[in-house]
Amino acid sequence: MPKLTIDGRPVVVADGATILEAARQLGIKIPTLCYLESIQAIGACRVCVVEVEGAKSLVASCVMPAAEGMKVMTNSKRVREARRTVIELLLSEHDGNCQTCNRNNDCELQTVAYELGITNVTFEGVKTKNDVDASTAAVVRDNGKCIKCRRCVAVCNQVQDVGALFPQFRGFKTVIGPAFGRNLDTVACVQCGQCAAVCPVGAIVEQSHVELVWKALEDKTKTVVVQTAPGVRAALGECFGLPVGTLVTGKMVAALRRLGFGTVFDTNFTADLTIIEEGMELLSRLKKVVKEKKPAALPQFTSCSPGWIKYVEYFYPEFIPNLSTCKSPQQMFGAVAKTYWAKKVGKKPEEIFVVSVMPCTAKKFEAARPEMNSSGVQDVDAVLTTRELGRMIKQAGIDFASLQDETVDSVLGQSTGAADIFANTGGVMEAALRTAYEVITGRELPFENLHVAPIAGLEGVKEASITITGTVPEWSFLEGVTVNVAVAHGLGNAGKVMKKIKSGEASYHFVEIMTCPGGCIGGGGQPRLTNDSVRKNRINAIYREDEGKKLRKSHDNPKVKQIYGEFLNMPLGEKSHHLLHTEYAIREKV
Amino acid sequence: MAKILIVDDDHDLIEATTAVLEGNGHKVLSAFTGADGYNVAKNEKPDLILLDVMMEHDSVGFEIARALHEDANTKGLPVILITGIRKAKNLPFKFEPDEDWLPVTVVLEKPVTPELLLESVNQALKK
Repeated sequence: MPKLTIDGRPVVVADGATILEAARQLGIKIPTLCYLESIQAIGACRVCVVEVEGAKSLVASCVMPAAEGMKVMTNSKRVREARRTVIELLLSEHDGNCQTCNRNNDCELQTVAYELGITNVTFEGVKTKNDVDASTAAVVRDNGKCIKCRRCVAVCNQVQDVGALFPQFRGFKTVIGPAFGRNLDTVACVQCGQCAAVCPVGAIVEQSHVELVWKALEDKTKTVVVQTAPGVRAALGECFGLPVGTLVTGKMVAALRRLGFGTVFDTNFTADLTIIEEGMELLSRLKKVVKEKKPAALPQFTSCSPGWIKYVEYFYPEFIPNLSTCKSPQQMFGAVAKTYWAKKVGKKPEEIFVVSVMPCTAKKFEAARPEMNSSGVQDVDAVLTTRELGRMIKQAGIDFASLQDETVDSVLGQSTGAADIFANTGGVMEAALRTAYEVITGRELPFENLHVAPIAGLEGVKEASITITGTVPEWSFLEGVTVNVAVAHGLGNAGKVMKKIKSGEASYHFVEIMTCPGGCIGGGGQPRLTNDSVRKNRINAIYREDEGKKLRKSHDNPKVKQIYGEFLNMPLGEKSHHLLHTEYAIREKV
Repeated sequence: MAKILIVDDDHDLIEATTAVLEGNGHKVLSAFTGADGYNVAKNEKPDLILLDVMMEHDSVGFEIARALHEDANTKGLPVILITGIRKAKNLPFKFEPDEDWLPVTVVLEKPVTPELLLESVNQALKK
């Protein structure tokens, strides 16, 4: 527990803490660019330098351990000048124009430059080669803006265990990107956008659909409908300065109407529908194995998260049969909006334009998959990230914070609390258990407030076992069976689960995987910068939304009953298979 | 005494239900298909309809209930839906009356005991 002083103020820190952490403990702000809390501290950008009495040179506070008796100065003339030099050198290479950059007002380099009072770049020199890679549906890389902080490399390799991005060459010539100068679409990138979520500048951003959506809203021949994923309502407010964890469901609906969306629906509706289809799929697999003694692919994996789907297609194709065949709620929505709802309003599928608002960049890729056109045309036409919706609301001059709450339209709008929790790790599993347990036993899931505590929270891999007793006659073959489930978030953690399953170390019946840390609330399309504190606040907001609903189990959603009664006929039936289920493809890694 | 129409493709069930209802003083009409049931309902204007769901096709009962509700001559006519659809289709939920799409008084799941049938009939006739 070393004791040191920073700017003359004493502080005691935990063993191993860095000077940066010690300064934060005192509320002293040290600028950072390459540092990424609990993920990367490499001292590469040097903007966090501080002066330590007795040290020959300035030290990078993000990597220098705090030591007993150390005297640190974070705001000396020498420090200020060094930081300014660092930023001016970065700006001298940075081939970007703030006014026209996607990240204007959301750029850490811009902010640090402003906060350091830089009004002129002293250095003149060659700019980094402008090399734009727009090959994927989800993200765009612009190397000219890259400041080589390696945050994207850290999340892609350490957190997601995907390894699509690497630093190549050295010094000024360093390029961050896929190996051998390839484009992202030729390597095993799952398009999760975690790189875009951590990039401090505009070097990796989402592939924007903003103009596409504005154009559709102006098109008189199109009926434009919008769906919003559950994770968006717990984060959109951050785009407008509202505290992290503020629920803005009603304001979001009001803003969407003011943008010109004639019909505002909710992805939550098809999240409830997913639970019916995926829950019955799981039960039918269990029936095959336990009752009929026939083979069925267990564990069943959830299939809501398109980055995870692509990860399995690349890295674990032998487990494709284990993926639920259910489309994600986004794609189920597109399919029923252009068939069931289109018929209700007397439109053809091609006359409907479906816009999604997602906390995710991989949803852009998913919408463009060739399998996703069961209505006869592309089921989802445009996908906005939470950040893009925030920008559109600003473009329209809407005073978001002062909007009065509005409610979504029927019939693809109503949802239960089970749908809300699709937004966070453990949520899809909990929602499925709320329904499956009740189907099997006729009783409510026996957990306090319906929350399955062992699978909640930010632990990377979570497990639970539930022994089924008191079954109804139709499901009596499951009497006494212990169902083992696992939940993982972040593909690095997913990889750990897959290795355990593959080696036989673990045996599960049902596994939920969400691509991004924390689940969709921490998605690649969410307002940045996300850390565990932000994730916890958003998750708490989602649980509040769930607990505030009168109906909290997907099978209680009256509009879900309606769509089966009017249109789908039955879960896993012919129409469901055509519209709500899909197939997957083995992908070559390079 | 009320005039009650039973629409079901199960002849044995119609026979048994008729016996129960007639034993309690009601006059009973019957139809074995949704289409026939719809026509009888329009022509005979019963006081109550007991309606099956899965007949000519799997959702004909739902459609007949809506068609009767949308027709000015039969709107307001009480309908008791009696169905085995939940088990037949492995549904994880029970259907319930819904003003948007299922305009019926109550939904009963087969098999229905004579006591529940009579209680539901009496309730529906009071409305």
